[in-house]
Amino acid sequence: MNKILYFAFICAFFSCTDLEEEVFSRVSPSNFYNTPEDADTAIIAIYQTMNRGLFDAAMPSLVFVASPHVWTRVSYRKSYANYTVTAAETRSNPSVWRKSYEAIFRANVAIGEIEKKFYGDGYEAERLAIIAEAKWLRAFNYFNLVRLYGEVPMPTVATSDIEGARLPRTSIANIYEQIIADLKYAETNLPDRKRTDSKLGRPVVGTAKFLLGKVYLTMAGLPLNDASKMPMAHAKIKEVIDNKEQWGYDLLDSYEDAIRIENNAERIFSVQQSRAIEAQGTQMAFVWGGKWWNRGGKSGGQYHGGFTKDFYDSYEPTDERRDVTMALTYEHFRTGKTLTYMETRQLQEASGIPQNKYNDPEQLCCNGQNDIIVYRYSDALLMYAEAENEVNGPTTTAYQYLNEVRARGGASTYDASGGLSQDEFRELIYKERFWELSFEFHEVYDIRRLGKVEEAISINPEAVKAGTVYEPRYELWPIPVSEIQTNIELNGKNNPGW
Amino acid sequence: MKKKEFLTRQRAKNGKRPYGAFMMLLFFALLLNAQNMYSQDKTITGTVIDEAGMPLPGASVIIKGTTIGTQTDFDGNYSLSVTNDSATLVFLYIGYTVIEQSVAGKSLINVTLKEDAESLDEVVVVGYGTQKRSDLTGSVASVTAKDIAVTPVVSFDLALQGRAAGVQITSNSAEPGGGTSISIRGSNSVLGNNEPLIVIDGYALPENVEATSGAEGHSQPTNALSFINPSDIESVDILKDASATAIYGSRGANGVIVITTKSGAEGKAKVSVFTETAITTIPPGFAELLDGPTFIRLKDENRALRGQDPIYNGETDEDGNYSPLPEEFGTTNWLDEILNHGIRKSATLTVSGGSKESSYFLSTNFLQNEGILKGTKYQRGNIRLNLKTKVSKRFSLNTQINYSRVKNQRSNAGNGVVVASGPVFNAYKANPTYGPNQQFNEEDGDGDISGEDGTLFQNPKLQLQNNDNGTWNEDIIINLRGKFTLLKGLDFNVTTGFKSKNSRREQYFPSISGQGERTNGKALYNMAGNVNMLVETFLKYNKSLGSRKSHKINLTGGYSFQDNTTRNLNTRVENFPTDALGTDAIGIGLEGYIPTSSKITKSIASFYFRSNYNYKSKYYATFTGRADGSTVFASNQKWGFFPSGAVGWTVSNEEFFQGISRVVSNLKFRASYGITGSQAIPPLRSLSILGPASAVINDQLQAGFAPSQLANANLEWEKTTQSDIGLDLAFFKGRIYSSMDYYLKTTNDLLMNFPLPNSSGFTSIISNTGSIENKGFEISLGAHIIQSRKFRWNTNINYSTNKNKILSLGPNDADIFGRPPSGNIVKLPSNILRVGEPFAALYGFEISGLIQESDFDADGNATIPLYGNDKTLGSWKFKDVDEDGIITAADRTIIGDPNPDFTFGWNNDFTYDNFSLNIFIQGVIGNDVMNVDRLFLASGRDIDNSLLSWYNNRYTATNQHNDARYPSVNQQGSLTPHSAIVEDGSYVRLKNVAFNYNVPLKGSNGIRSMRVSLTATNLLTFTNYSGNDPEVNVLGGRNRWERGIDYGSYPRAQTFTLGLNLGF
Repeated sequence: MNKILYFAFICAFFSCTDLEEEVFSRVSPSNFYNTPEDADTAIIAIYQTMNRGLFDAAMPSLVFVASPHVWTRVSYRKSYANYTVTAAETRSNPSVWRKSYEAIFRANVAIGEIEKKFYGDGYEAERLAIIAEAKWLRAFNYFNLVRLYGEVPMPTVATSDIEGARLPRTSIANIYEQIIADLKYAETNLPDRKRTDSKLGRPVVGTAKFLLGKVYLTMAGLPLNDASKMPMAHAKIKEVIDNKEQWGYDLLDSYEDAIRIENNAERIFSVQQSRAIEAQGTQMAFVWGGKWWNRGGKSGGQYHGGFTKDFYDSYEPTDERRDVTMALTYEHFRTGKTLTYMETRQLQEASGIPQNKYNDPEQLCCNGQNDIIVYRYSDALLMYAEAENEVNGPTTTAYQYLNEVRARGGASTYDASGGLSQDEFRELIYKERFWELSFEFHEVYDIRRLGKVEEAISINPEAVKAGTVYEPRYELWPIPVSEIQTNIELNGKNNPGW
Repeated sequence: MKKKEFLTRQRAKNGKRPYGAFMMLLFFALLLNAQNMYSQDKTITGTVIDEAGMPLPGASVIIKGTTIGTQTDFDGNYSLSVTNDSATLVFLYIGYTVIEQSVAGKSLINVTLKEDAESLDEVVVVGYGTQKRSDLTGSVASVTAKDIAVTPVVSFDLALQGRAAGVQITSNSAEPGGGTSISIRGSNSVLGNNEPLIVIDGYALPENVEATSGAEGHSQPTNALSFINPSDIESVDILKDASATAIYGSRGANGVIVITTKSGAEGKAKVSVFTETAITTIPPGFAELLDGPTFIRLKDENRALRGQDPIYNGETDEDGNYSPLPEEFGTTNWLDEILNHGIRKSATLTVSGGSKESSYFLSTNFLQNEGILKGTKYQRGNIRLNLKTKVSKRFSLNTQINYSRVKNQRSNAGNGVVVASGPVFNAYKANPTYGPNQQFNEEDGDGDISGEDGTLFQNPKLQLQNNDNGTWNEDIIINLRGKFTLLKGLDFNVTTGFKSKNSRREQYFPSISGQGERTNGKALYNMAGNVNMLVETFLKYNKSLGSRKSHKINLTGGYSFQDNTTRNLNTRVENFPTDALGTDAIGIGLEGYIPTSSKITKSIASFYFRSNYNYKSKYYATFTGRADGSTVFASNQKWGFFPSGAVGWTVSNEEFFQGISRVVSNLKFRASYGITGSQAIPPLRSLSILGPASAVINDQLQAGFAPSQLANANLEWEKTTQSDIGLDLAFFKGRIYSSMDYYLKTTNDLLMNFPLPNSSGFTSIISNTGSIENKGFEISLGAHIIQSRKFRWNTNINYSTNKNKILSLGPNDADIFGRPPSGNIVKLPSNILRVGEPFAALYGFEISGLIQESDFDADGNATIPLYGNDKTLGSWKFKDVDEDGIITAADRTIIGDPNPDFTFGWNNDFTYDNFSLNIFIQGVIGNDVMNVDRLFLASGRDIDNSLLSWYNNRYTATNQHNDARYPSVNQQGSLTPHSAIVEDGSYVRLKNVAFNYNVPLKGSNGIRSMRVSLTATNLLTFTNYSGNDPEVNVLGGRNRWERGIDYGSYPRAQTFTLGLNLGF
């Protein structure tokens, strides 16, 4: 009561007119980013955008299900497999778009703010490394966007007003130019050795070189078809392989370990997750786990889809990668009965063979432990074999790297003197990429850059069932309708044909 | 009741509520008529006439100090027996001055009553003072205690429904204690509050704060106004136009509701006890659903359409599993499992009285209202103390204290989330072949534990039975108002007070419930607290000038400061070793999440003034202005000024009018114009701030911060400009009276979450952009139709229209989309804001019919664009609005208008002897409702149950038709808002029928009065709406603009109430 009377007295006779707004529960940016520790929080915020919802729920629709070898039970996902999707699809497309740009915005904030600072001579390398990491993450997101959507708006500074929030599209070539510039900066300024402790798994020089090599390889393919980039890819990936010890990269002896162990030497980049911390667990195992399978968590998986039997059968029986990639049989989590694909009512043909790369029996609903694999070292070997074939033909070196990957997986090796043509060898690599890297976010990028979209449509069971006929527009996804509606600079135009 | 007291009280208030008072007086007059035959002694006769010499039929003649009296007949004659020669007769007639005459030595008393301009007037409570209704230049509607008392409600806002023109009240949820949306003259604001400012005894309430249900869906807040016991309210005045509301400046744009609570009167203590017992019953109007066998048959039918064999075939497979035939399945009627009749009990004890220096009014109330969903219940305890003290000749003090505690056991019905959907929606769609205690999905034919959308079977019965789901609210309001008389006519007023609210939301989902199963039990324990402090000082000055004091001036001016602090704490814990302790021991949960908390302050400082001038009660002028400064706006936009002006001309007071004043007793023109504001934004939005964005690296959580909003350095007030012209009319001394208003409101600088391209990294920014227009016409019309000795019939009707239109939505007028009806499955928005269209128009695809055989060419290729390549015959046929040959999001269009064409209320009071009957009819006409339930229940989804009406009429090979209400089976892919689920939501409701009997009491056994009442509420509803009740608004509450959506709404109970009112 005293407080009220005091308040009343003060206000009645001295006028309470101080209307400055006080901020209690939030941090104000005006006095932030002043130490390397502050600066690091700006980077962590970029990682946060890749958390639950993006790679486990949304991204698989755009990247995974259009693979030649995938069934899906879920109608909105089917629409990506059979290309009946529209720009109005609300579940996957807007999430990928929004979260990628959220990451880009946060990277722009970090770059813009930290470039202005100086933390002292002793901290200069650290400061530049933080900027480099933001640039690597920005390049990573633009690389995804340009491959998924083609020409997209390309903010490189954080907007502070409505006008800056609306940007027209940038050409594909210019986006790649920006990506290369960012990665070159990252390649120079990131730490040059494997990170440890609280920074374990975050990009280093080798990560930047790997991504730059991948970018060059992609530019050499469709839609740019920039042949000059193939030798650059060849050289850049070679740098990664030759200096792998520098960054702690290597091929593990066991394929299963490479898939299951977090932050192992083979992981070049992964989105790190933890079951134990709210909103930091992935729902990958839950969404994509087989029905009634405890590896999808304590209630079983939602079983959104799986692989075709043809794909399963295409592996050599000795190939350990087959059963790490998918689970043809597993136990019912309540009854303990063995469930086998197509032999049990729960596992119908058109639902596919459940994936087995992500599983977490301990998770509750959507909070899984597994880190999401984005880039693995074996991809570097396959990319190098591919680049070698493109630059020098199917040389022994090309066979050597391909066979290294196959042998580790338990598959037979190819005879280097097999006399395959360059085209035939290219096919071998293409197939190998599915065997080695399925469900690791390469599918749609590979079929697009290699001109395989039409072929994939002729194989993908959902597309076959729907009678989908290839159209050129299928080389890109439509930009989400919300962007078209809100961004006047797009003039209401989506990608051609969408 | 002693007549003396009664009269004194009435006269003290001097016609404040003439009709009500008069009615009551008559009541007693009639009541006593019956008694006076026992005590005949001396008879007085006479005639009562008016100044023009015309007889006044129906005038009351009462013996002063007694309850004995009579009425004049048609010729103005009366006859009354008196026992005491020293008695005094009191002559009363509505609209005339009271006259007293001693009977000493007389047997004939003729009286001429003089018209009393004062008593024709109600007194209307306006901001910072009162005004006579006849002096008003603005538009103000009033509802009296009597109108509120007649409806047994939890909260007074529900009793206002249909009572005043221009005021539309929609119950957001029919759960006991459910919230309402109040809109006065349409909706002005997109972002925030369209609710009026509520002022209780001079205290402007802050925006409601309530603990939220956090991650468990957008479940609605409870009723924000139920902390006031409706029977403590004396009057409600609704300020509508700018002239009336501008004194509240930045908070006046949505209108102002001014509540005055009761106070004690001079005299001995009066005690009254008021008890109500009611039964809340399950309403009719639930559509029939499929029984078990039909449901199973439909599954096989669907299977057949997919080219699969029926599996309910009565055969045993190689594993020895028997598959039963459809007819072997039983049926659970899930609605029966969740609904029951409830009891409502209420008891109010009131003590009031006072001396010359001080008066008191003390009231306590306990209310318990069981809902018709099992286990839902609203409980309130409330105490109010109003004190008036005359400290000295110059200083008086007025104190109001109200404490209330509400416990609301809830159901989450209509919370609009499929994964966590409420029991009503679950009961509609639940598999009818499951037993009432079935916990999980069975592995039925295709092993579907869940639909492809991931929905689990949730047993609605167990959901209600097992889930703890409560909201607790504690409200305290203390308000002190002091008045010093400095000079004659000059008062200095100080108001100071505070309001505090503590709110708690506890939910526990046990491991056996649908929501708790995945997480092995889940508890939410959320708190919100709000402390609001107010201090105001203002001067009031009254002066009459000139010859015969023909110039009257009334000035008010002052300063106000209001400070508001809100705190929140939200916690969530999962994985409980036992379900036994629920939210009482969240610490035993094994998986706790980091709690979140916040503290936000907001202050408003204001200077205001008002001047009223009138010349000979003929010409009126009012000027009002308020300058408001608020913390929530950008640093260079803190202050806004809100002026208004109004003029009035009472033609009937002109000399030239006197000739017809016997017919037209009042004729007044009013016109007003002004600007009011709305600070519809949450705090901190003009600033750039960083939000937490932590992420895991190496299994450790690392701190991350990122800008969580785009700052807007120019954020300022919303401004609503309103013009109003009005006409007040009365005929035959007020026997028929009417008031009409036409208004035009334009809101500019609309505060909006302006959508940004997501490529900016944000989805929206709050900015001042856009404008909305509301215009409408209101009329209220009343009549004392029959005024005979024994029988009286008073009626009044109000009718209002409001047309709103969005004029602009910012620089490129991009559409603004509302929330989707459900968080995870019906994901496209159901409402839109689009330039040129009405506010919150319903939005979605247009269904032009059903796909027919004729829509395919000879090769089986579709000749029409298909939605999702669905070629099923009898599927919904989507209209290709943009005619580009394919169905895309661009084909969505406006498919309905949730705003009514007009609303009305019609009230009738019949009185016969000691009986009275109130019949109240209320209607909302011309609004559309989107019945999202039909997407699940009338679409052929075989994982959900369906409506029998759909089943019987559905499109099949043998029943081909084009009625989009009854598509064929297999519509799984079409869970999107569209026109086939939009229906006319018009309704006319017999809202209230109240029957009262005043028990005649003889002798003084201590009981002063006794009234028995029987009230039926929501007795009949006339509508073509196919859902249970057309008054729905599941997306209402929490200051959101979407409306007209039905989605598993809590059904509206019918209530039958027996009331007993005893006075001592």
